[in-house]
Amino acid sequence: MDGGSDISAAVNLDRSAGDFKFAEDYAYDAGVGLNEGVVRYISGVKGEDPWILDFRLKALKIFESLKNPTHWASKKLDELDFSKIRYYLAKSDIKTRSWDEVPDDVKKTFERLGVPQQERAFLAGVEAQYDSESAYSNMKEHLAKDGVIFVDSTEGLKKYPEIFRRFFGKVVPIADNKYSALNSAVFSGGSFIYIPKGVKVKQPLQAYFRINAQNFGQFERTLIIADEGSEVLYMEGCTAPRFETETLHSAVVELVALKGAKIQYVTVQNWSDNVFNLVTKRGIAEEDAQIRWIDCNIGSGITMKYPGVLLKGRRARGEVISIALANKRQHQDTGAKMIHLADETTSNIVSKSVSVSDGRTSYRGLVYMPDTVRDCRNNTVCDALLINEASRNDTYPAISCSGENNSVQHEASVSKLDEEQIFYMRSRGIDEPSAVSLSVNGFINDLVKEFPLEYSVELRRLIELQMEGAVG
Amino acid sequence: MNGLEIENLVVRAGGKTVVNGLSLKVPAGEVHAIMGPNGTGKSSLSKAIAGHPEYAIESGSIFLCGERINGLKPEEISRKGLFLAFQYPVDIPGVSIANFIRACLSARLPEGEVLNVPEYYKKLYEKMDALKIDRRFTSRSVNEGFSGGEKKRCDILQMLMLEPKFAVLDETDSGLDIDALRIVSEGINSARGSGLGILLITHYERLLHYVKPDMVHVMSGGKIVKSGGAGLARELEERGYDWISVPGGR
Amino acid sequence: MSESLLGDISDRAKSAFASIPFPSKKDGRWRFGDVGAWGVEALFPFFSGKFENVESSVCGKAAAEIANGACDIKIFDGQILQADVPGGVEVLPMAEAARAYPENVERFFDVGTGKFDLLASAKSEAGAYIKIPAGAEVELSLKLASSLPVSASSLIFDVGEGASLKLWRDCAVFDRSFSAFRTLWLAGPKSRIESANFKFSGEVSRAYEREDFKVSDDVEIIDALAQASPSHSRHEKNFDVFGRRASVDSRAFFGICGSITHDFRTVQKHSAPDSGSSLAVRSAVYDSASLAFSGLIRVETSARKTKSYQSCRSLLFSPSARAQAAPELEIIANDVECSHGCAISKPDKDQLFYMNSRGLSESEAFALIARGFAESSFEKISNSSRVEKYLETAF
Repeated sequence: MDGGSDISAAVNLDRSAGDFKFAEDYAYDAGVGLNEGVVRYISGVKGEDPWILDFRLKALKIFESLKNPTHWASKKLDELDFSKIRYYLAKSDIKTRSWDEVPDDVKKTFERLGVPQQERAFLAGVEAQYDSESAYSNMKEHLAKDGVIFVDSTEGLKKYPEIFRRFFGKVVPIADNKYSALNSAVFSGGSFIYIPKGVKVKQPLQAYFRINAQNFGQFERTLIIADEGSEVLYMEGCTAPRFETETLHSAVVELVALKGAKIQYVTVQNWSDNVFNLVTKRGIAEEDAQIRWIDCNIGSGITMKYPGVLLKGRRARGEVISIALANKRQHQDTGAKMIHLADETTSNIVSKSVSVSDGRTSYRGLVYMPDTVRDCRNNTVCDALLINEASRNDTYPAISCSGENNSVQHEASVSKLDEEQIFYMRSRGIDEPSAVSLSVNGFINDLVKEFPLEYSVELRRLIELQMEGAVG
Repeated sequence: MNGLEIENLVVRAGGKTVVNGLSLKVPAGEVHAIMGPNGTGKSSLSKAIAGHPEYAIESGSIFLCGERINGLKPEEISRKGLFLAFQYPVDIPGVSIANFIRACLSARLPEGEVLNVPEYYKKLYEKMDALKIDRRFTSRSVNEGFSGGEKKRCDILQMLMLEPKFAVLDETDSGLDIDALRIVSEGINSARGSGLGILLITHYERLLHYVKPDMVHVMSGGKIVKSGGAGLARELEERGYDWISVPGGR
Repeated sequence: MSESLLGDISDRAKSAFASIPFPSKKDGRWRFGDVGAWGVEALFPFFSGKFENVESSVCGKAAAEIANGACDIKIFDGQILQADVPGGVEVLPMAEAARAYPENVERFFDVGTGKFDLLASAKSEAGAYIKIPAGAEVELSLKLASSLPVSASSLIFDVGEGASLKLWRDCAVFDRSFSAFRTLWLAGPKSRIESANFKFSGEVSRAYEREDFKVSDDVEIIDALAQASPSHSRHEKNFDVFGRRASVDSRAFFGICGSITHDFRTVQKHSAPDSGSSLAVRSAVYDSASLAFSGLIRVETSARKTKSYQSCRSLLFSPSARAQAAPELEIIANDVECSHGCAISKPDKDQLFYMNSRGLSESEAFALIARGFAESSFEKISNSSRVEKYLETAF
């Protein structure tokens, strides 16, 4: 990054330039625990068609039949008590706290990131609803002119079944894993987006601009369909920490890039560290289509997330750019899956992880090229940096390759902070914590560049913040 | 005394005594060269002066402009005005030169003060023009994939920007090409006269064709065994190091 | 007592064998492996000893021929047939070893807990205990053969402090034989082990082998394995580096043809500081054969300044050839340098063109490329003339 003035301009983002609230005013409560009644209740509240209720009930059965994958994943998953979780939260029931109850480090982070006052209250759980000036309606109008649909899951399935039903639950089948089944049973919130043929959406579609309790629900369901030749960039999450009382967040995101379409999906995840963040994200890329997952995980206690792309059409391209930072007591278990199902498909995975204190980062990957496809390429690079003695990193890639002229390349490295590099910086007058922070920022720099500018600036600051107290 | 003063310095590193009772005075505004055979502790001396944590000062003192600096952290020594040009500069991937020097300057400001960014860039570009460095250079990561000459350029640029009171230039690397030699010597010569004191560590006399030192010291067995004027360097080139008897040396 | 030690081991193994299921798709230890080839149906002829209309294969005959060649130590189906060894070196049958070194023998069998390890444990008396005295410098050639339908051989190499052992080993598995080999290397402080292991087997056979290396202070291990057989195999190698300043260089070459799978599993475990290990796997895969490789580098908190590397390179010489790899890292110490690399592709077009332009046909060029792979696996083995001879036979 060059030029100081660009940076200051980027930091002083006008966040008020985006807003919309849901008209719905849910005042319902499904209670605690999960059973058929709860699922019927949720579906009823939303006034769903019978096929959706059937889908939910089927998912519930599958969820109940599947075991926690603790034979390969963290044993901590067994700490989740499904009978104590509230699966559907009505707005009026969201507990709020006073500003005094918000932990100091959270307040400090808001300060350092320059989060606007209004947003702080919402993000800290002081206010249940986020209110801001409006400008989003302009954006929405603009989008509508092009035929872009940008609604939440309930509205999407109700108003546009002919568009969304075709792919809903098809990219990530209910039974993909225990948590995709759970989401399928109790989902609410999330974004349903359709980009018509040939439409190239100029501005990023941001979930951030529509922060409200609904959007930050525990069981979001997102489906983005980019029709032939269209392009869209979707941004999810925000860099500011989300202070949560609920412990389980389990989203499902499905992307469909039809012929020649391009979808970029950007996530910055910074849940508070009591949260289990168990997310299933997958996309289908048809002929000449491209899907890029750009993912940064900083928060949560445990994150398990392996964005994938099914490369179904010729010359389709899939990419995962992933940054993970695990601090005290955190486990970032992330990765990527690339399934090559057509000729001349290409994929690229770049993962950088940083473990601080006793934080643990794990990379799990799958690259699959069967003998039915030819001329496919994959390139994977995983680099891990360990800051402290108690830090840990695991790398678990799985590669299967056959077929005419297919090739896979995987490289991974784990190293500690370079002491000579730190000394070099200190000998120029930079103190040790700043040198470490600079070094870590440098380590992930090429990936941070892939994020939209406003995110990347915040990301850098957030990482500086995370590195404070890591050494010395 | 302004400049660098070392008294009876003993340094241990990797379980060995690498500097063994070395004393040296380099007044401000002068250029002194330390020469000597390989493995005699020259680079260790430079690291010890700069406060490298793996080079433990057992006894003796180092004074920078009259202030004792041994025992201080490397960043504190740097902020007091010492600059070390490394024999092998490390790369810092992902951190651009412009941002790096900016961070170095910001670190020198009192708490709460912010660097004037436009002025910073103005000064940076001036120095770069003077060194005939292309503007694009500063957006590259520090030392990453640099040629020998580029690394030296990066160092000299840092030196000019940080405006130290004293510089230790570790140029023992025999791999210095003509380009690198020229950059280093031009950097030294242009900083000379502004009151900057320089300790130039080198193995070959070649560099001294470009820079005329006020004094030449020969180091062996961890201490200075002979000092003289610029002529000493020529003598070393002609006769090698063997003629200098080293009391208690290797 | 010792008789009952081996007897107990055997009894325990027999009951454990029955209670452990045959490999299945769900078994993580067999991920990517051809579990069908190791299932109860495929193995039934071996366990029952009944083969119908099975002719001896060319490779089976070659294996038998190799097994009959000259060497220092010859072990057939776990029986020591010959042991011409230099003074000081002991070659003991397991029963004797159980009396002389009961702790090491028990430790050896305790480690083997996998389904097919237990075949060796069930025949606990089969095999040899080879002791190299401290400070000795020994060169040995060993032939290990398997001819029974289910044949087991256990080998314990007890290499004393400061000793040097260069071992040249030919493993031959005849047609209609399932071999379960197990090897334990006890590398005493400052010892040096050079092991070259060549495996041959008939078409109608299964070769299972597990090797465990116990690596203490200042040990140097040079290890090379080559397997180019037309039948399913599985080889497990575990390096337990608990010594400081130790170094391990392990390489393996697989030439895989037909429709079989060579299954290779490795663990490089470091629990002491300042040691290093490097593992390189090279495979040339033809027809519809496949390589299943999974290798773990694990660095414990105590193992500061560990340098550990792993690489897996596979060349696919046919569109239905397959290479599968799971190179894994578990790093719990921060002051380390660890990396792995994995590449799977068909032979480089430019390389091929270059060789064509020098007058080589495609198949000649392929053979040359594959041979280069094999050669690189034996670079570190000092007896180069023997390596040369092997390569001539194999290619």
